[in-house]
Amino acid sequence: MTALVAQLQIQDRGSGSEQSCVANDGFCPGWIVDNLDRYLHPLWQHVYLSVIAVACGFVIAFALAVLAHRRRWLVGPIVGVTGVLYTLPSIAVFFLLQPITGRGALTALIALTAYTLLILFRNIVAGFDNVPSDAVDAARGMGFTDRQMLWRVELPLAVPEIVAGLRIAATTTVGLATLAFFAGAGGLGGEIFAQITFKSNVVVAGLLCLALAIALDVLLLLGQRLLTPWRRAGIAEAITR
Amino acid sequence: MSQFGDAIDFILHTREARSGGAEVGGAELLPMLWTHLELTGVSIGIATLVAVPLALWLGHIGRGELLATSLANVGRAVPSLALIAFFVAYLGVGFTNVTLALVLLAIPPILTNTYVGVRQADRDAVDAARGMGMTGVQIVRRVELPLALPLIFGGVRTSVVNVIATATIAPLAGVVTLGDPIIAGGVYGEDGRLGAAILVALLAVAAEVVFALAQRAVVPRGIRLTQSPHRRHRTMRRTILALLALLVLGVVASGCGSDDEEGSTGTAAASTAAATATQEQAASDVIQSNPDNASTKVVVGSKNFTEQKILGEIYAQALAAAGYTVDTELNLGDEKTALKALEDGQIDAYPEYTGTALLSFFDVPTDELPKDPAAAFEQVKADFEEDGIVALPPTPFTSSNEVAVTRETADRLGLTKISDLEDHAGDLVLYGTPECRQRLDCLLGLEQVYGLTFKKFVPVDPALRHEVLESGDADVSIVFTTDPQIERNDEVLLEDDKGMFPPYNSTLLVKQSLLDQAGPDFQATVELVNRGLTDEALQELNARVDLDKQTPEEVAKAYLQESGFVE
Repeated sequence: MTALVAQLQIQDRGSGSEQSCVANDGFCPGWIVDNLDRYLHPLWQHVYLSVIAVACGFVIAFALAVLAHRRRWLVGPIVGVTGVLYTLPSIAVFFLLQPITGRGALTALIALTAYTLLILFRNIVAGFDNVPSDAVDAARGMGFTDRQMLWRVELPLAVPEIVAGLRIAATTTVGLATLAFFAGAGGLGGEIFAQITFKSNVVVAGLLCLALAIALDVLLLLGQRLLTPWRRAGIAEAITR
Repeated sequence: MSQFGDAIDFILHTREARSGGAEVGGAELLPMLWTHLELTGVSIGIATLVAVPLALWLGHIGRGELLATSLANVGRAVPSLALIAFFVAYLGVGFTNVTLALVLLAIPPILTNTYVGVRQADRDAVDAARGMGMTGVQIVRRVELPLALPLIFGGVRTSVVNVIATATIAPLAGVVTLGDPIIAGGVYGEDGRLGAAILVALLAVAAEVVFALAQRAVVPRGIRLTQSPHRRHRTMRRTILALLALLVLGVVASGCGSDDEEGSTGTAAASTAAATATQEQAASDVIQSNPDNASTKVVVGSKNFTEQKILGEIYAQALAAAGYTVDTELNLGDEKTALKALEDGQIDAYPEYTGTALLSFFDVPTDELPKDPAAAFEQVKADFEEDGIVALPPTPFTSSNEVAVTRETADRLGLTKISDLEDHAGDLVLYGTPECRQRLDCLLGLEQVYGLTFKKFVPVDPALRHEVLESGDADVSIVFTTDPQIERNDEVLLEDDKGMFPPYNSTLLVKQSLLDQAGPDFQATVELVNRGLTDEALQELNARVDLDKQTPEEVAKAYLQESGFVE
């Protein structure tokens, strides 16, 4: 056995206010600036989980809403089922799913998607219900088929309610995704959990969650403005008049 | 589905904890259920007392609409985990702090709903009341409040369900709710984890149903008359259909069950190793990459505290440097969870302490524990051999459990050794990891070997072991020899005068089958990097993570480079 060529350098601690701030689990702006990059990967996982879950939830809820739109008796049972799903605590579901789907992003996505369904379904149905009957009658008079009616009249006019639902679903999902690390799917919650007593860490990871929720909210709002140009025109007209 | 059957059995029947010592499951869950309900009740009570009068007043005078509506949106975006973590980081652990966090969580839905309820109260009714000469207080109490009650109950119902869900993570902050078996899976086993998850889910659904009924009951008679009589039947049918559909979903889901596993991140050292391999190395201590090893896939695991994560990373990166294809599964949980992961093939290797193995895995009685590190290792090695697990030669460092108190407590009570606690234990609160309850080198040993009965034992996450001493929540806490916080916080370690703690050198446990496949480089690499892992080195490495807040991955990389094992 040869002797060690080099040895681990024992560092001198206790000097420097920044270092002692970090060592005492304080809130240290310098450390935060230097270490922002360690939050990039968890942030990306968080974005991935939130966006995919809301997107999947939207596809499912939209299909259910279209079904229930023409068959009103379906609304009750669908709200009932999604309501029960919505009530189940997420952390419990992350573990209840593991014997079936294992640990990982899939399990987290199934649970997160399930949580969006009630909110999205209710809002999409409300959107369809609020379409002015004049518009529907006019389209019918022009000879629109059911399908044309859905895509060209009802859906565009329901956009505000649908986007309102998406906004609630997105902010809720960002919050719930902080527990996704219990399902082995990473995310910002894992960072919070890893050093739960370190103030800088908790504040940065927590604020990133908030910022992500706000960013998704703003994006959806902008999307709504792009999708409903007539509403802006209406407002502009009202102002100029 | 047998796993769910076992979980239900856990809920119904008390059984011995996985290594014996403590009773878990069945009636043992009642105190947790009680704490869960107590926490929920107190938080909702305070939140209601704060939010309802405030919103009634704001709604009555018609101010603060922006506050009431935007609060709901902000409230939804604040993650409950971040809120709890914020309170832990700034105020510390304990029932009061968790309650405060939950109150904050519960206020927005109640406030918003009450406000909207009052504003939506029929203006004609309010005007009529005013015309009848009612005072402002009378209008609020006899017109606006009754009309707003259904919405207020809706808000409380939302908050109750939220708080029950969030109270599940309260064990992170030292409050033992039904979340404890979920978070401390090692003590209760998978059955316990699943059983508690089922209980929490049932609790939330039950609360939802109770509050939905209460909400229906408080609708003023005048309003109820205008509702369709078919409503009751519809709701019944809806609920039955919903449950049926859920059952179908469950069966379908279990039918197409897959064992998807998200591989955790590979190690950064792999690329460095490839670069090193092309150069001629003079020093014999540098790990050489052997292309033959690339076909061997190794998953290195670790338990859930700093030192373990660092050791796991060191072995993972060193093996990657030797050319192996390495994955990591760090932060597995306690020793039972890690060993089970090794036996089940989820991981191929993880570092374990000789003392922990002797006490937790092989049930060696305290009076038969070897005092000599080499003897302890030989015994562990021999015991593991029967299970197809190889214990590789141990590290120079030893990191024992220690009984720690603050300098102030030690001076006040005159404590220097563990047996000094004898006259004081009844007044002292002990904090330790959840598995501490069933470990002979922890609570069980303190009770059996030293005959100590503490006032209370509180299980917390190992990350909080020094925090609770500093905050004054704990009088006594179980810490590790190599913790840098001992020096920083001026803690006093009590001497183990009855020899309860065996030597705790770390040995990498590897599956025999993997070792056979991996060839000689595997053990040679592990033994090489072990050489630098002295007591001082481990204190330094732990300090870099716990005090300097570097990641275990960075610290392991620095260790390998500074020691000259990789370039």
